[in-house]
Order: sequence, then C-alpha cells, then structure tokens
Amino acid sequence: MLRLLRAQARRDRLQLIIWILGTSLFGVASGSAVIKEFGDAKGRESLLQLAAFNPALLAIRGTPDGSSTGAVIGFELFTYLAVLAALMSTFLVVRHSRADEEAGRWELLRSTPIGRASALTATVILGVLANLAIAVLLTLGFTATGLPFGGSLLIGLATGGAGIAFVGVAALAAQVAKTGRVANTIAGLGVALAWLLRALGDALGTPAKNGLHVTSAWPSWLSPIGWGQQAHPFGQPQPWILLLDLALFAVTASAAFAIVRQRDLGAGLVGDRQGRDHGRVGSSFGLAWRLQRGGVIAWAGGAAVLGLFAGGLAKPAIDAIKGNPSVAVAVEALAGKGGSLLETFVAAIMAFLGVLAAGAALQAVLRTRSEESDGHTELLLAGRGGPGRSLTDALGIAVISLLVVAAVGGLAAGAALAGAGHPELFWPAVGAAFVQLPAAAIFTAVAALVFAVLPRATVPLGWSLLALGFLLGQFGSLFKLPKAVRDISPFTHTPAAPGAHIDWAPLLVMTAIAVVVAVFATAVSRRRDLVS
Amino acid sequence: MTIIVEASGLSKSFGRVHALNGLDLSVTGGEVHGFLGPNGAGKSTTIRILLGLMKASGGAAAVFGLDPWTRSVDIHRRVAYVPGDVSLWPTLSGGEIIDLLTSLRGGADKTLRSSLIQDFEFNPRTKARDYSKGNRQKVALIAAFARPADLYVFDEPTSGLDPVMESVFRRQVERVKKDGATILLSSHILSEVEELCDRVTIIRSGTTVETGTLADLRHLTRTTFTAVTAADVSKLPGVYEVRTEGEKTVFDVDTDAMQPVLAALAKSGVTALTVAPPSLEQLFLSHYETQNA
Repeated sequence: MLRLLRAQARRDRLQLIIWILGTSLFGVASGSAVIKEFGDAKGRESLLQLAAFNPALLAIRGTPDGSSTGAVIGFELFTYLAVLAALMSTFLVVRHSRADEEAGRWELLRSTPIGRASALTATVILGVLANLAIAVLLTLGFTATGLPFGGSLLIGLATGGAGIAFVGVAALAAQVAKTGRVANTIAGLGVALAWLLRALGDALGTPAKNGLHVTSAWPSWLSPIGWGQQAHPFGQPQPWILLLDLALFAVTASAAFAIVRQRDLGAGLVGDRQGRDHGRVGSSFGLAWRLQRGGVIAWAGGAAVLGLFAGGLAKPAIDAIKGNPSVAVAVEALAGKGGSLLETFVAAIMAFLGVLAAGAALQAVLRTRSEESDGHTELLLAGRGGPGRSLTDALGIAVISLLVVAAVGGLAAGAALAGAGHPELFWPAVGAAFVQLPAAAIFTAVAALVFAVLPRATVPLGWSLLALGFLLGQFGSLFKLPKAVRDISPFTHTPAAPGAHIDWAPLLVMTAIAVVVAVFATAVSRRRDLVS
Repeated sequence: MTIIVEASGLSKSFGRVHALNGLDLSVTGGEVHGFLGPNGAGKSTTIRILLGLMKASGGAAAVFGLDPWTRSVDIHRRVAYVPGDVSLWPTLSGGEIIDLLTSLRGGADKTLRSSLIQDFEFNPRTKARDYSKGNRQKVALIAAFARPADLYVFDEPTSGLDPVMESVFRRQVERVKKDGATILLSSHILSEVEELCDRVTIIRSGTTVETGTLADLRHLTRTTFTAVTAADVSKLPGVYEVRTEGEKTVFDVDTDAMQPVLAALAKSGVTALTVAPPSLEQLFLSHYETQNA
C-alpha cells in the first residue's frame, strides 16, 4: 500500500506540486494584495457594506464576516480556494482510480497480493495528504503575511476540508461511472453544485444592519464550500462545522470502498447499453461530434442552470435591497455607471457563463489531443486524418459549443428574468450571453496553437490558461494589478453586459485575434508529426 | 497429482450477455496447460474469475484450493499474471513499472531481473508512453518472470512479440516449469500451445468442448493420407472426402479405421504414401466447424 502510494505520488509529482503550490500561492498573494489595498479599516468597511447589500457580489465572492483584514481576505478568496482544492481532489482521485482501471492498469496491479481496495486506499490517502499540504501552506502563508495564526489555521483547514470532502465524492463517482471522463464529469458537477448552492444561499442571505456581516440562507448549508464559510475563520470561529466535511468524506468514501470490494474489475454501477449494429458516422467531423455531443450537452446543462440562477435570483435579491432604502440609494448610485442594479447582477453572472463557454470549447480541442495520445487519430490517418484534420474538426465542435452554451445560458437567464417580471430584459440577457463569446474563443484558439506546437502540453496548459484568465478577470481590478497584467486576460476586455452602452471594438478585435490564431494553428498542425 | 486450478460449471453474465456457460477447467500441478479458444470464447473472463478480479455468476472455482473471490490476496501471493492487453502508466519508465509490480509481490530477484532484461532485449529507461505493444508486453512478462511464483497465468502472452522474443518466452516457461511451477497459458496461437503444453482445454462460447493431452485429442480426429495407389478406398468404412490431386489420391481416415485402410492399400499396391497426423490447427477447426454447423 505504501508502495502504491509512493508510485501514485511519483506519477503526480509535477502535477500535484503545481496544484498545491498554485492554490496556496494564489491564496497568499491575493491575501497580501488585499492587505496592501485595504490597509485602513474605513476602506474595508465601505467595501463590505457595498457587498453586503449587493447580491451579485455576495454570489460571486462570499459572505462578509467582519471588517478585520483576515475576514476581508476570507470574503474575497475563500470560495475560490475551496473550488481549487475540490477540483484538485476530483482530478487526482479519478486519475488514479477509474481512469487507471478503464485503461487496464488496475488489472496488472490487482493481480498482485494487495487486496481489492488497496489502490483506492492509496489514492484516497494521497488526496487527503495533498489537501493537508494546501491547509498547512495556507496557514503558514497567511500567518507570514501578518494575519492571526488561529484564523489562518482555520481558513487553511476549511480549504483542505472542502478538498477532502471531494476526495470522498470523487472516489464514489469513480465507482459509479465506468469511465474516467464520466467520473470527472459527475464529481466536477458536484463541485459546481457546491459552489452554486452557496452562491444562492449567500445572495439570499440576511445582511446585518451595519453591513459588515451577512448571514447565509439555508442553501449555503448544503455545500462543503459553504461549511468552510460558516466556520468563520476570522470572525467568531466555529471549527466544529468543518466536521461536516469529514462526515461527507466518511460517508462517500465508505460507500466507494463498499462498492469496490463487491464489484468486478472494470464494472460500474451504471451499465453499458448495446450500441448500433451499423454505423451512422461517416466523416471525421461526424466522429468528433459523436464523441463529444455528450460533453456539449452537459456543458449546455450547466449553462441552463447558471442562466436560471442569474435570472431567477435577480428579483428576490433586488427586493431585499429595496427593503432597505438607504442602501438601495447607495448601491444604485454605484451601479448607475453601467446600468441598473439588476443589470449589474446579471452581468456579473454572465461573466461566469463566459468561462463556462470557454471551458466547453476548450474541451473540444483537448479531446482532440487525448484522441491523438490514445492512438485513435492514427486509426483515422489512413482515411486522410492527422493532427491538422482533427484540429479543424475540433474547432468546428468548439464553435458549436460556444454558440450552444451562450444560447442556452442566455435564453435561460432571459426566460427567468421575464418570468420574474422583467420581460424587457429578455433580449439584453441573451445578448449579454453572446458578448462573452469572443473572449472565450481566444482560449480555444490559443489551446489549438499549443496543440499544434507543443502537443503534450495541450491539456495542462489549456486548463491553466483558462484558470489564470478567469482569476485575472475576477480579481485583477480588485487587487489593483498593473493594467498591463490585467490586460493579458481576454475576460478583462469583455464589456459589462447587459448595460447602458456596450463597447463593440474589443469584441471585434478579440474575434479577429481568435480567428487568426486558430487558422495559424491549423496550418502549423498540418505540418507536424503525430505525437503519442 | 495436486489440482492447482479447478473450475466446474462456471458461468458469468454481463447483463444479458452470457460470457461463460458452464465452463470446466482443471489444471494439475507442474503442468503447462493450454487454454484454447477463438476470440470472445471467454478465456479472459475465466482467467479474471480465477484471479478474483471478477465474481462468477454461478458454478465453483478454486485456485490452490482457495475461493478466488474471497481469498484473492492469498492466491495472488503465489501467482504471476500477464494480462492480454498490457496498459502502462505513460509517465513512468519500463524499469520503474517492473520494480513497482514485482515489489508489490515481494520484490524481484535482482539477477533474474537483469538477465530477463537482457534476454528480452529490453530498454528499461524509456517512458512507457513510447513503448510499442510488444515492448509493453515485455514489461509485464519481465515483471512476471522476475520473481518465482507457484502459478503463472498468461493471457495470450506473445501477441505483439516477434518470433525471436517468442522463443525467449518459451525458454522462460520451460525454466519455471523445471522449477516445479504450474502454467496456465491462454492462446489462439496453436504452434505456441503445441510446443509448450502438456494438456489443453478447448473452449467455445463459454463452454468447455474438449480437454486432455494433445495425444488424447488427436484420437478424435482423422488422419490425412496422400497416396499414389490403384486401390479404390472410397468404399471403405471410415474414409472421408476422397479427392484426386493430379495422380495422388487424398483422403481422411478415422483413427479406428486405420487398420483396414492400410491393409487395403497394401493389397492394391502403393507407389507413394504420406500420412499426416492432425495438426492442432485441424483439431481446432474441426471443433469450430462442428459447433458452427
């Protein structure tokens, strides 16, 4: 078992170090930025008061928990740290369990005298250790920046706790699904759901009169990410709440172990249906679509949920503000720059739809890479396939993904807004969804370029660039990063929409860049060898 | 003789698909047992059940007298296994994987490991993603042979290996057999089985159709005669498929009809005669043909 653990850690050495250091560095660096930016208590208080009555900010950040520096850092960062830890856990666990089994590597391992569950045990231990490493590094890092040790420890543990909860969730997903891809999708949807539940609960939360605290509504209590917030690292600490993370971990992990001890090698809980006896796929593009339509549908489902969330939440949140006239005036004044309060709320959520669209399109290109490394592209080579051909197909799927995600997300948001008594916002919401696409397309094009030039780096670099772009877009202005740095991210250039006036110039420029880069990437990829 | 592997009436279904349907298999200690069958006959499924990687839906199985599902760890302590389709961790080197797999079984014999690497002409430093199918197979074979075991289970072990490496594999099987080990070798490559195996079991559609020594099985088939003769053999009992190839007459004879045929040939005079024993190929084909008909 120790040997397996060592072998898994060795396989992951680079990847895990990047995840752990990246997450911790993101936390500590952003924390220092907050300290520098909001050095005086006045500034922190006005920031929090603004947020406390703005459901959009509550949804995309978290709940204010007092005006100490640590509390502001927790408000700004914690949910993102928790998401990073949860995603690290998901990919780590699935990579070593179902993905390995699907590829046939478990068959070799399981014929040795190690017991049916040992490989999973090693993976779960590795996942827990990785999350503890994040917890320790965050504790040390925050303490070093001058925050109190107790709060630093608790926010570290809350982050690691959410990650550990998802070690269990992913382990269970890996037993239910028959393929690594589906297991990742299930556990990944779990992470998204955890984030959305707490976004919902926080946005519907009750602000305290002074605007320095917000008490989350009940949906936040259904989410491991929400539990970390409820532990109040820098407020009145409630560390026992983190036991909920451990409980979720214990329940899901025991279920996973119970299944793995009972089931056949290669089997899942969800069986395979029989396929067609004759093929309907007659072209390489048809094949790409056949392979990826499930993924496109899943992303579109996510977009629908996000759109309904944005549209459906808008009204109750606005009503909450309207109930507090003095605040309403202040917030309306601030929001007035770009449009109504409702519009800023929808715009904030639509930025997330942009990331979703980018992720969906990115996956089309990444799939092409995995098709190549799995040796499938080689099969098609005889029928004029090859990296160039497959990239063209992938970009076609990517464009479809972008359009589908934007259309579904926009229509869902518009319908929800219309249903909530704002039919005038239906088309602006749909438009706002499509405004996100040029920036999203740039990530696809850049990933295509990486695929053409550095094929083996396609998957890690593709996701990292998207994560980086997202974080720069979300936090760049908050932390007053130099404009040159912020401008690197395409998301920075997406105008706020819906809004009073939308600046078309950056949209056109970004679309042009995406097209040029994609065409160049296709041309380059036609000239390169297949790389396993 | 001790029975090492015993399966009787084994069945396994995946949903509506019945992979095994009352399969019987018995492997005695110290023998090389061939496990033959066409693609999809259920060879790999049987092996996975015997190793406790899958649970049988019905029937009984025992390896070293132990239940494979509940006592798989105890069984695995004495088993070396090479699956039919070897898949490796792309970022680890071949040497690293060999050491991982052998250390899970208690550690490799160092001299064996290096002599195997030499015999198989294997480069252990290459990353696994760059190995061809044959080289991936070598990783699993070296890992299996590098630590002595009581039972070696090979699932189509030489697929992807060139003829030279196949002979290296045969030498290794003979070596471990001399040390007293038992070998279960699944294959559809008949020459491999013919050269190595003491006994064979032939399965088809998840059922055992024949088992015994090669000599036993040959009794079940006809011998092919090629003769230049004036005798009219077509009327004799036990003679089939008489055909003429130039001046030669070619026909098949049942084993128990051999005597009268030889007598008839001797009486009418023969100027040339070849008698070919049935190859395993024919044996194999006759089974499939009768089953398919």
